[in-house]
Parts: sequence; structure tokens; C-alpha cells
Amino acid sequence: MKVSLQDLLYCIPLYQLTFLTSLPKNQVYYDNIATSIEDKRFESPTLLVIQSSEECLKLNQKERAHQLIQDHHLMGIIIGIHTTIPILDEALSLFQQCRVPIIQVENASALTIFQQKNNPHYSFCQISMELNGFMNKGFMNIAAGLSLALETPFLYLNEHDELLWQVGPEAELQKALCFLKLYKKFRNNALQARSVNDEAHSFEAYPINIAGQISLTLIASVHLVDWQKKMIDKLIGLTALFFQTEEMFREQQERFKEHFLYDLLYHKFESKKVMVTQGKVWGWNLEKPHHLFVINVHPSNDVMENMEWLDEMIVHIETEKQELNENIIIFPFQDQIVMLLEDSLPRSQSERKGAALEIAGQIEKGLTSKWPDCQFWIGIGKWYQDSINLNKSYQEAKIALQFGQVWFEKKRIFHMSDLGLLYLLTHVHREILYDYSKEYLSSLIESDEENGTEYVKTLKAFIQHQGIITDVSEALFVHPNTLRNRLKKIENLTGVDLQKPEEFMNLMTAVKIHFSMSL
Amino acid sequence: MTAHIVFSIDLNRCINCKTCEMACNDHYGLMGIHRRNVFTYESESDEKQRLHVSMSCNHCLNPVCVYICPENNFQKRGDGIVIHEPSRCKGCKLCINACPFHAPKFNPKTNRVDKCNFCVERIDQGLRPICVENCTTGALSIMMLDTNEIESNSLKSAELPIAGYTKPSINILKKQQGYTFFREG
Repeated sequence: MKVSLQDLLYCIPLYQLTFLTSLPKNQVYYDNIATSIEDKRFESPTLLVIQSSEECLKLNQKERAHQLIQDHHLMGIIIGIHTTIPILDEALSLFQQCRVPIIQVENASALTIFQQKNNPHYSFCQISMELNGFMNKGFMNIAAGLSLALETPFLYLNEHDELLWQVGPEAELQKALCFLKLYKKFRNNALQARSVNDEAHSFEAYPINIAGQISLTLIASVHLVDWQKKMIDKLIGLTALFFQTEEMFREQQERFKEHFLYDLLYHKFESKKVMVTQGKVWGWNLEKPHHLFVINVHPSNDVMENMEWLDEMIVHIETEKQELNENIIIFPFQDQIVMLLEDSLPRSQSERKGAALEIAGQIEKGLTSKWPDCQFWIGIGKWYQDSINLNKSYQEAKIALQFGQVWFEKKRIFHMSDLGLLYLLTHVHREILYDYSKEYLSSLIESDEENGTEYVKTLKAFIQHQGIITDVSEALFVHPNTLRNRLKKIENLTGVDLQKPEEFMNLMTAVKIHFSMSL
Repeated sequence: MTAHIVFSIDLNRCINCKTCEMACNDHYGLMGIHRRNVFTYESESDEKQRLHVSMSCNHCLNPVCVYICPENNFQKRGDGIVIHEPSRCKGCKLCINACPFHAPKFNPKTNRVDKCNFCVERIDQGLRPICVENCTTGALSIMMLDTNEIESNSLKSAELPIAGYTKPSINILKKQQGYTFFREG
């Protein structure tokens, strides 16, 4: 039994084939193989297999081309050259018009298949290699080539039958798009859909099942013969495998990224080199020092309804980042947004802090204007020359957020160095702090608990508003005279003169300790 | 959301036997210091009632030791365990002063800081920490807790006077009031 050219092509990995002209619909059979273009015509059905550029260049010669297209024994041309083929478009269109199939086979070892007399079969042991080649060449290139070979347009649809990608001759594509409109309309009614196929258009939908979870659709011509359908089936199988592998790869990448982020923020890397190398995988330059921001969001109920709210905020900052013209790395981490701002300019500590606060201010303003119902707080850790200390900076930013939200109630941005005394307190034994705070405030706390006098709260507001009576009374919603009266009683109970800076400072420290310990 | 491995302490079961302290010291060959200590508090609501709590490093969500260490020797693993790398420790004791739970201790034998590491080598083998393994009453156990839950964990409700700003990753099972049953008729 003779083997057709189409059956042989089916056994060669798709990525190794480049179709320069379309394949005839009818099966093509041949008896001999010729390796060079001679002056005479072929005596029996022959497949011309060219393996040198010199022979290939002969196809550009008008006389030779005319001789070949007039030779009814020439069944097809196979070009076994790995490099770009030097055939002119003019010559190719001539061969196309005369329906002479020309196929380039990238791998010269695959040419042996054309010598086979027995019925070859597709070997599944080459599937891994085929998939790898498919991925490297790109499924779009392969689908475009096959579309040319089979003379059918291809329309790729997603799960919701929305057009993802299309390829093919323009006129055929227009027809396919008309079919798509009707297909969407009648897809739930098989009978009607069939009539749409039969009467108005000539296209068919092929499902692309990816791991039994997602089903894409490929639309191609309905007038395809068996060997063409087999080719499409192969394309669909490889496309499904490609998407499945891509998805697995993407998931794996995401998992790797999560691990890296965790290591970056909680774990010290063994060396800076390891950290920088891993960072480069994600396109981050961690060689230079960075400020670290932690953005805490209190979302409104409306925003919470949208599951993607955190991602949307990140996208918003990403778009704003282009206007800021700064190198910013941003990612979600444990329901907060973490942002790294590159800062390697030689400048003083205060200038550096000022620059970080300015950027944080712009980001906070942008977020608040976009989501006015949400509340945003930004904590900034210390800047370290060595980016390996980003884990320390992360903890500092979180501490700044925690203490800042309690102490600086109206502020939205807290820098670690703004905590001042509060930062210092974290270095001292809790017992010592507790005793110190008790010594000054015990009488006030007792009075607050027994009589509801709110002396400690009053003192906190007094410190926060730098002792300006009108501001403090406004903040506490009390009359200035009531406030003065309270302050007098506080002085009596504690024995501290609030007008004496030395004594006031001690009391202020005790109040700060009290509130920091209440966290 | 990620889950972290935490110690769970049942206040109803701890009888102050200190087996956990001894098991830890025995396992790690420690002399003169304890990685784990059992503390006794008086209940705020009932002065007669005494609460025994076995405490070691709480492997906090925001560990203060991580940012305070000038050598950056503390690391928090993916499963939430805070480990200390003693080889680079210079014994500055900053972490000892900063930790609100006194988890890091100064080891006079090595002149370096030492702290509970959640028996990571046992955890990695699928075993429980040695203190949990030896707790005779079952007061100490381990569990996986969502980081969101750790964040909102209110230790004050358990009447324990411990700091919350570092977000200690522990689960406290509150002391229950005893029930009195009367015979019918």
C-alpha cells in the first residue's frame, strides 16, 4: 500500500515543518525521490527533496520553475535546510498558483521518513520533544503555518466564546467572523447551529480541552478531509498541552515568587549575591538600597465586595509610579501592600527621609482620591545601605504603623524615625517600663477607673497638641476651662508641674509608655 | 493567607510541674538557663485563682528581635518559626532587653544568645517539639493558625498581662470556671 505525502508529514513534529505553499486536498503519492533539479522532466511520480542552498536557488530561476510546474510527475518539493530559504516571493506565488506543495523540514534527519515504503505511524515517544519545539516556535507561528497549509482560517475562542486570536486569509476570516456571530447566538441549540453550518457558512467548532477544566474552541473550515482533520487534531492536542504546561509553569512561578517575598521580608539570605540573583528573576534590581513602605488598607464594605480590591490598588499605584518616575517594586503581602522604593542617591539622612515621605504622601493622596471610602496608612522602615537588611526595614515599617496609628491619630504616614521616644522604648525591658509608667500614672488610672475622669486621655491629647489649650479642648470636645480644671487636678494627683519642661517630659514619657503597652 | 505553626497553651491543664522546662534543658543539654519557663499569675477577675502559663519564644508575627539585632541573626521561616543563628552572635544582649517575653537568654557557657527554636529539626522530621512531647497533662500542644487570626488574637481576654504589639503567635485556651452539679430531689 502506497503512503501519501500528507501521512508522512503527519509523523514529523509540527514545529519542524514550515509550509511555504498550501497542501493539495487530495492525497499525494510518489514512487521516486529526486535530490537535484535536472534539465529533463521526471519519468514517474517523484518527490523532490532538496538539501543544498544551490539547488534551492534554482527554484528562483524562471525557466526551471516553469519546467517544474509543467511537470505533472512532480508531486511536491521538500526543502531540508535549517536556515532561511532563499526563495523569492514571486517564485513561491507561482508554485502556489500551480498547487505545487513546498515544505521546509528543519531537521535533516527527519528526511529519512520520505524513504519509507511501509505505512509509518506517529510515535508518541516524541511527544515531549514535539511539545518543547511547539513552545519554542510559538503556537501562533505553528497555527499560522498550518492555516496556510490547510487553506482554512483559525479562530481561537475562550470559555465564553470571545475571540482570543485569529489567523488566515482576510476574506475567509470575514466569513468566519460572520459565522462566529451566529455560532454564539445558536450554540445552545444544536439543531439550529447545525442549520447555520449547513446553510449559511462553512465552519466547524473544535473543542480544546485543557486538563478537563477549561475548554477553548477552535473554529476552522468544515470542508476538510480526514487527513486535514487529523492535522487539526494534532494541533489542538499540542495547544492544550502547551496551555496546560504554561498554566503549571505560571503557578509554579507564583509559588516561587511567594517564597522569595517571604524570604525577602522575614528571612535573611545567606549572601547578598543570592538575594540579588533571585531578585533578577522577577526583574528587580536589589543591588541598590531601598526604602520599604507597608501600606495598610482599611477597606469599606463596598470595596470588600470586590475580591480583587488589593490587586486593583496595586495596579493603581503601578500606573501612578510611571508619573512619579521612580524605581518602585510593589506587591501584596499578608493583606497589606509592600512597596520598595530605590534610593541610591548620595544625600543626607533627613533629605532621604524627606524624599521617602514625599513619595508616600503622593501615593496616599492618589489612593484616597480614588477610593475615598477607604482609609490608608503607610509605615516606612529605616533606609539601609545594604539591601540584605530589608527584613529589618519591614519589621520597622510594621512597628511604625502600629505605634503611629495609636499615637499620631490624625497622621497617615509614619516613618520609623518619627517614633522617637516610642522607638527607644522598644529597647527597654517591659517590666522597667511598666514600673516607670505606674509610678507617674497610677493615681490618674485609678481615678479614671473609679470616677471615669479621663485624665490619661486628656494628658495624651495635651501632649499630641503641644499643650495648646484651644486645640486640646477641641479635640476632646470640652470647654477650655474644663480642660484647665482637669489639668490642675492632674498636677495635684501626680505632683508634676506641667509648665516645667523637665517634669513634663517625664510625665510625657510615662503616657507614651502607657499607650504603647496597651497595644 | 498563610498559616503558621504556633504553641497552644491550655490554662485549664497546666499544673506547674515544669516538665516542659526540664525536657527542653535535657534535650539541648542546657545548664543555668531555661528556654521555656512556667509563670504563675493571679487571675484579674478572681484573685484566688492562679494561672500557670508555660512560655518560651512566642515566634511573633512582628518579631522585635529581627529588627533590633545589629547582626541580623534572627530569621522567620515560612512556617512562622523564628530562629536564631548563634554563630554570628556577638552577645550584645539587645534582643534580650527588647523582647517583651524574655525569650532570648544569654548563655554564659557560649557567651551568646540562646532561644527556643520550636525544635525545628524535629518539626522538619514531622515530630512535635520536645516540650510538647513531654507535657504530662496535655497543656502544651501545637497547631496551625492563620496569620489573620494571629493578627487579631486578643491575649487580654485570657487575662494574661503580656504585650501584644509584637503579635505573639500563640493560642491561649482561657481558664474556664468550674461547674457545680447538684443532685436532683
